Amino acid sequence: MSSESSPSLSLPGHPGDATAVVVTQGATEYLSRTLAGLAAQSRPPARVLVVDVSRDGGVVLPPGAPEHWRLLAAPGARTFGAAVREAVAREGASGADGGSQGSGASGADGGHGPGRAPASTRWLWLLHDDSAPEPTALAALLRAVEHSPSVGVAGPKQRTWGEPVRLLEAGVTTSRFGRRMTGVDEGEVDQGQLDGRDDVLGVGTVGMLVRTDVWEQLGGTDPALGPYLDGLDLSRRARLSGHRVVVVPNAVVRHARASFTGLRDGDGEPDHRSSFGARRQALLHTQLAWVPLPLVPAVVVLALASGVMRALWRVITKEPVLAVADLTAPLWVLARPGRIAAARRTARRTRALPRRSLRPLQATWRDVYREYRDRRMRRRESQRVVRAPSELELRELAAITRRRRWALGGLALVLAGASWAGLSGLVTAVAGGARLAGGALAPSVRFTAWWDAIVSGWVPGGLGAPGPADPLLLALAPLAAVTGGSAEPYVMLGGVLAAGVSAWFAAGAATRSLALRTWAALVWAAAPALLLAQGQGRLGAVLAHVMIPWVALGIARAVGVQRTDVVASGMADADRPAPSASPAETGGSVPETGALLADAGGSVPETGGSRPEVGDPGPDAERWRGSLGAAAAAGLALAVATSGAPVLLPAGLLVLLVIVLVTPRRRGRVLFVAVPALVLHAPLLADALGSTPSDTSSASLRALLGDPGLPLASRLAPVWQQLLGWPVEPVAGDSVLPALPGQGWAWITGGVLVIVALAALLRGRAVARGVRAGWWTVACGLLVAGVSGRVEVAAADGVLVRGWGGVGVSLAVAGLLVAALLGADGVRERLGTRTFGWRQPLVALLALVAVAGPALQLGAWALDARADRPGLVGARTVAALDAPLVPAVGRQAQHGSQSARVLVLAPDAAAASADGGGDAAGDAGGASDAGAGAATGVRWQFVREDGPALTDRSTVTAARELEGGLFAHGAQAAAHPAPTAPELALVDELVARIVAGSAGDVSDALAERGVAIVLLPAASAVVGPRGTHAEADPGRAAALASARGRLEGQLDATEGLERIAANETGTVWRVAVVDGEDEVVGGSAWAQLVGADGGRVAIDSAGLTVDTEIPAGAEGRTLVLAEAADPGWRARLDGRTLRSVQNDWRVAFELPAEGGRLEVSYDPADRAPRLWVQGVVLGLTLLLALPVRRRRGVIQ
Amino acid sequence: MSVWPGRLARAGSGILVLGAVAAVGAAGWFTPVPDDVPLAGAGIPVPAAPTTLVCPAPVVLPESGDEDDPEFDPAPVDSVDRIRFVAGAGAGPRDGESAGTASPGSADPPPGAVLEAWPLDDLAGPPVLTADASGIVADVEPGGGAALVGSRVAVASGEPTTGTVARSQPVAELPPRVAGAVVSAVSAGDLRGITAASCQRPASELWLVGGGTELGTTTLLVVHNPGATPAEIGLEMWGPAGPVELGGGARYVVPSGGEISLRLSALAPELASTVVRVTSAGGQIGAYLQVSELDGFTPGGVDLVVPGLAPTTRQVIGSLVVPESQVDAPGAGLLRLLAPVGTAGGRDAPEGADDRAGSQVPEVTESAEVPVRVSFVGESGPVVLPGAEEVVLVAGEVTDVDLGGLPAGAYAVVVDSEVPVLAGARVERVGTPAEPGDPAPVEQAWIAAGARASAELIAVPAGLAVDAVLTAVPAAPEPSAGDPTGVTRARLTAYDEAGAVLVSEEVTMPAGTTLRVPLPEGTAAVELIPTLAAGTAGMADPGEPSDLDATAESVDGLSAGASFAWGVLVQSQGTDGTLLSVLTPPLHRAAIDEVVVRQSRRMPLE
Repeated sequence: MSSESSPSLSLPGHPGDATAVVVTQGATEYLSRTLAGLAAQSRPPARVLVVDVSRDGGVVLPPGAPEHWRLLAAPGARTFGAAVREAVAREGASGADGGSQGSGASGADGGHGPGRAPASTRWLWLLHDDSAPEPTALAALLRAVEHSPSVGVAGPKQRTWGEPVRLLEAGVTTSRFGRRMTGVDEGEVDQGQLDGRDDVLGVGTVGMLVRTDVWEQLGGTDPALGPYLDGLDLSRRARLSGHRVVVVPNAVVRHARASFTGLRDGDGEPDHRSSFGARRQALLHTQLAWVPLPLVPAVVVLALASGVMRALWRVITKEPVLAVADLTAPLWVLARPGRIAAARRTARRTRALPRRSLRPLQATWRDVYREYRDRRMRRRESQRVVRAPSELELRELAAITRRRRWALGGLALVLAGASWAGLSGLVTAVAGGARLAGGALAPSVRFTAWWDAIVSGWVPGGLGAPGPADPLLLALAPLAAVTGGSAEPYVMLGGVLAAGVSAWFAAGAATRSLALRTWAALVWAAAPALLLAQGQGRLGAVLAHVMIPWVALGIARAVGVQRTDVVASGMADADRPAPSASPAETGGSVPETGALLADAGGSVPETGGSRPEVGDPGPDAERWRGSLGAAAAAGLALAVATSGAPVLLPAGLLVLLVIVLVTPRRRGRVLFVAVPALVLHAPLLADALGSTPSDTSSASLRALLGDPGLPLASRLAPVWQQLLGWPVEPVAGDSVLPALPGQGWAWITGGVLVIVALAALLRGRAVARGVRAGWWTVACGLLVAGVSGRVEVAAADGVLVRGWGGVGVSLAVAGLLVAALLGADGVRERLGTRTFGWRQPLVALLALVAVAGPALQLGAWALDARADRPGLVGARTVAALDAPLVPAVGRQAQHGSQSARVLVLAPDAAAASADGGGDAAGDAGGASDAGAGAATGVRWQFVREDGPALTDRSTVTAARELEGGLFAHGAQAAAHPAPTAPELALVDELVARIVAGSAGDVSDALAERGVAIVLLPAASAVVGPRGTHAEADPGRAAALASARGRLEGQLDATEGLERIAANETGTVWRVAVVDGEDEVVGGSAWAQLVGADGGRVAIDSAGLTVDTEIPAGAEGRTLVLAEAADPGWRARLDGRTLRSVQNDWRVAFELPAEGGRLEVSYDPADRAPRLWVQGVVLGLTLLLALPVRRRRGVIQ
Repeated sequence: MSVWPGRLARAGSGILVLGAVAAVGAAGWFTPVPDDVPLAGAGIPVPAAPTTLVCPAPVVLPESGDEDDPEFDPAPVDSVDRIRFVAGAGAGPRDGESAGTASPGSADPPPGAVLEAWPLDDLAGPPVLTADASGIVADVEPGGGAALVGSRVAVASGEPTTGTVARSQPVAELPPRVAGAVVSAVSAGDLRGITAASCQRPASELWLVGGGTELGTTTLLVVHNPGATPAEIGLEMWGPAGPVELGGGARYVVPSGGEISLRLSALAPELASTVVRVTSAGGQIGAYLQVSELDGFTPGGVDLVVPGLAPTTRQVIGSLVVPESQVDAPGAGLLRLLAPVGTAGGRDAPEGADDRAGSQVPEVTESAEVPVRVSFVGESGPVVLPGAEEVVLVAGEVTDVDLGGLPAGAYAVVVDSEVPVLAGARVERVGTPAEPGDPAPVEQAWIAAGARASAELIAVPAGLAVDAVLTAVPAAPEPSAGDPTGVTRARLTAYDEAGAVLVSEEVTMPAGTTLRVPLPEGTAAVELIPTLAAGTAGMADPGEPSDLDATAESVDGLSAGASFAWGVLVQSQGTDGTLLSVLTPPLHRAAIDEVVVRQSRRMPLE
């Protein structure tokens, strides 16, 4: 450079009365060109000060620089303005010492020789190291200001540094709100469109010509600013102190904006986002410095609020770095109020004009809007221009899309048809208002109860127990909110369709072959794990099965290894060596158009292995970045899947760890996928990890293996059947399929899948990592299936329940599908390259069997379900409940201000069948009726909703009912039921006495437990398949009916119960609480005031909370709740916390004599932090997952 | 070659992941899935409930709708009505417990029971009868077993005019030993005969096997409501042609302390034989049939039909004491059988004909054939009644089996079936005609199927000859003749009116035999206490089938494979023949000493 510019240094010119100050941070790559531009000025500055603010001082002046060029080191300068200030001060002083010239500031007579530097000049010309002035820049600037004495500051027109030359700015203004506006779009070509500008609100410090006295008067730039907005701030203050600020379009400076675009960071990638935080801070600083004092508080609030809002928006647009900057910028600025105060002080000192004098120069709202609109239009246009494919490509893409849509539509139609064929009875019943129940499925409840369960941390089943609600409730809450609480029918009935569709989309990440995607979708939708779960009402397992493909798809997209349909033009082929090197692919496409249908991404078969490895950033490196939004979506999908089956969490972590290992980049993103699920399960995990290794910890580990929903026993199939997709053994039942030896039909689908997945292991490098990840998933799936199927997780009626192995099996099948799809992708093209031999028929046969297997399985399932045959997956236990389980009077008591419970009593089926068995064994004389054995069985249940609800239980409370080791030794199960909680044991005893007729007046005991209604369900209210038990043992049905009759008679004869109705729901008794002669109103209310004399007053409550006015009363009152005692309950009277007292098993608080507003809720110490953390993490993940296109290349 | 490292890495990683799958598979293969853990409900011992007994009203002359013949008085003599209550001092051993648990050496014998009785129409008034055993000191035999703890009773007698309700509170949380019986004796007229019945425990489902509505037979259904709440009762009836459609809804409300009396012929006339089911909602009731027959002007017998066992696969009727008789001759007695539909399942439906059971069973079994096996246990072992070993019933149709041809003696009838059936029996005595050539008067007694006996007390009204009839019923449904499966043993005690022990003897019987024990005059109460724990009707351990053989104790090298069926035959020798009736222990024991309770975690009634 110096060799070129040296001659220009010797060019004679009339030196201007200006001191050029170039501030640089060491010897940057731009400096030489800047200095050359400076040296080439047609009217050179009288003096040039090159200020190096770096500490290493590597800057040298170009050889042959005139002597009035000085190099100064100012390592202490933190900002541009400070550097200039220091340079002027030092050089001015030294000049005064050594110069013969007078220090007259107006000495613009041009008498300085080129070799002599004046001590002081009238003008300062400020330049950055990355701003190279055009040769006439200074001349134009000086010309503009020489005859306008009112001008204090003049600025040049800025153009871009590199080619092509674009306009950057020609003076700036601000909106009324302080927002900086240049009126120039990114990439605008300079056609002289802004050359008419003269007076402006401000100019940047780049090439700024500022009168020395004005600089002195204003104190230079704001020390808090720089390099952003310092020029504008200076200009503004100059304006307010009465000077003009002009832009001189003839003067041109090329500006690299190295700080702005982050080029100084050293990675060579322009990224203006890296400077965003500093710019944001500068903007907030100027806003606070500029506004009138009374408005400062408002601006502070706005800054904080807008920081949060902007941060959220940044999350939506997937710019987490900017989100952090947006969030922290106001804090940084507000943390240093002294700088704002100083800035305001400086501004006030020099202000001569009112702020409103700036109005004409500021942009109006219309200008702001116009700029916004122009920017949007330009962005859209530029996107279109950049992406526009050719017509041929468009047509090709459209054809692909059309075929894909047809295939998807057909698939959806088939799945919907099968679902309808199999489930039409349930669907029509649900559409008619019925609820689904049976098996593991509890019927839906009101959404308020649903929501209470999620947020309260109190599980209301029985007499209540502390514990986190099942995450499933939270995962289904949006659906439940929309549908008023009945989320589960949609999941249960739409499960097959949803699973197939999700598998279709997920398969699209592994292959673009429509046939393979359809096959994968069929296999997934016909998976026994899904059909079994659906038939048995395992809501969580169905949800998990539906969500697993979405997790896989999200991970693939997050890492960026998914495949997409790409039409590569013949031109593009030149720099896409991979497809062109593959004759297999070119041969199968449409050569006559010159377009080539190719899979982009990791689809390159090994024959064309010019790419070193999967995930290598190739020509389409943009896509290889993957997507943060996809990672967030995968995280949400995993959270939903694990909420359906907590056992997926450890399995998912194992799989993710291996994916992290085999992923070349974006590993943090893969790990992030686990975060929402971990946060969702944090209460369970904290419980499991925080406790000591004893029985209690086994309970919390059990909770992680348990399934949400009612406990339903299952027996795990042998492991080879699991590998073939069967979590439990197929039923040798009546089916539409002709019986094959050894349940032959059951193994076809899984067998083909395993064969193809095994073959996939032989495929080459391109898919090797994916295939191995798939097989690893298989191992993890089988592991969790095996573990959960061997660990008791809950106690059901009559048997201990082990975890449902179907979720692990789903995971294993997913892994097999991943491997098989990756392996089978492109097989047809590869076969085409081989001569016809044994391979082709074998593959054709395999393909035929592969499609026939799941299709037959699904069809048989649909027909069997329609005909109520058990089929391979066994009888369906889910049934439609078209009548309420709890009669209207009971629901009124539950949902009214009493918030009462309903006690459901039923003869115990197990005991009754033992009864019947005794008879069948020839026991002389029917012990069942005579009661000669003098024992009888009964089941009881407290319900607070219309039947037992999903919200009544949680895997945690279920696990607490067991104790003992996790794993069995030999054939002996390790777990055994834990002793019944004392408060429930009391209920057991009460019920026993009622049944035996020896309870006396039960009204007080029931009222104490908040029971207002006792219900004996009608025999016709049987839920579930009526064929199974009853048919197996007709005597049992009779025994049950007669046991029910006896129980009914006994309840009739029980004191304190008044029969009020007998209808199809069952027989209903009211608990009549009598005090002396009078009946106590609301005697069975959930919340009651008990006086010192024992008198009771009901208190209005809503579910598990109380918020009501209570009257004053006597001393010694106690507030009691019909809920098991726990320290987490809080009661406040007029805001004062009430003292909790011991009262048997119940929650009780001491009440003062005076009345007031009484609030009661369950609010343990960890509840609020838990909800906050969960809410924030899940909310941010949700925002991140929102599909909003990232705005690249747009200046913010 | 540079491809080799990659190939080796792929091969290695492939083997690694397959190895992981294989390891997991092997672990799963070699770790058996443990057996299911059955979860028994909590068996909760409960204190005994108060015992209520409902006693029938004295026999009443049914109002005939015919014009009365002023020349003929259907009731030339008044009936002699007696009621007797017994309350035991102390408590007998409880079922299923070893007899030794109530220690005879206990310093304080449990207090005696108090039984108080009110007339049905004045339940709120003072009790009219009180059998107070509380002051009686237990009379423990030296060295005697605990079976004899409190082997004294208090007896109260009276003359009832209406139905009677008796109540007794539990003693020391054990069910009180109380019993009651009513007898009406009429020596002449339409109602000639003895009608006697033990007081029953109220229930909400009662099966009455007996009676008819043919011309000459009058059957009154009497329902008593001893409870404090009104009871809504429902009736179902079966006749020889199947279930009877009852007009008029067949639902009645019985107020508290109320009684209703219905002529079955008004509901369904011209049925040769009837079975009635009474159900109640809102309260537990007592019910019985009063059956009286006339052959022209000749009395054909009168008795009360008390509730028998609900349909089960085995029904046992004890205490059949029959004279020598011929087939189809009068006085032979009969066995009434019914396989009801609608209340029990039928297994004769082809398997899988329909996937439903329970409510739809009637369609399937409406006219299905139900084979039942009828066996007679006589005094020297099983007796075969030709033609009656295998009876094929038509479901829903009441079938009478004539007992003619049975050798004279005491029997128990055991009815076994694959499906639940009902049984009841009638024995008859033919008297001597007033004038030669006139038809002979007949006396009849209905016997209801009873439950397997446990420690039970039967009150016996005064003035009658008393025989206890005991049968050791074999446990197996098919007792092979001559090869009884075991023995059973009990202590039979008779008390006199003062409460003192008249007779007390240990009876050991081989299974499949019947024993008739004449009791001395003045017997006021009879008590049978099985002393061999002959299998508990095991609900305490639902996992074990309560097969008697499985739980029987072994005593003296003989297995206790039998249980008792027993009753008390009361007779009076009138001028024109024998009058008789049979008292059976009351059904519907209220004593539940353990309830298996579990908190349900699933859908109700699933």
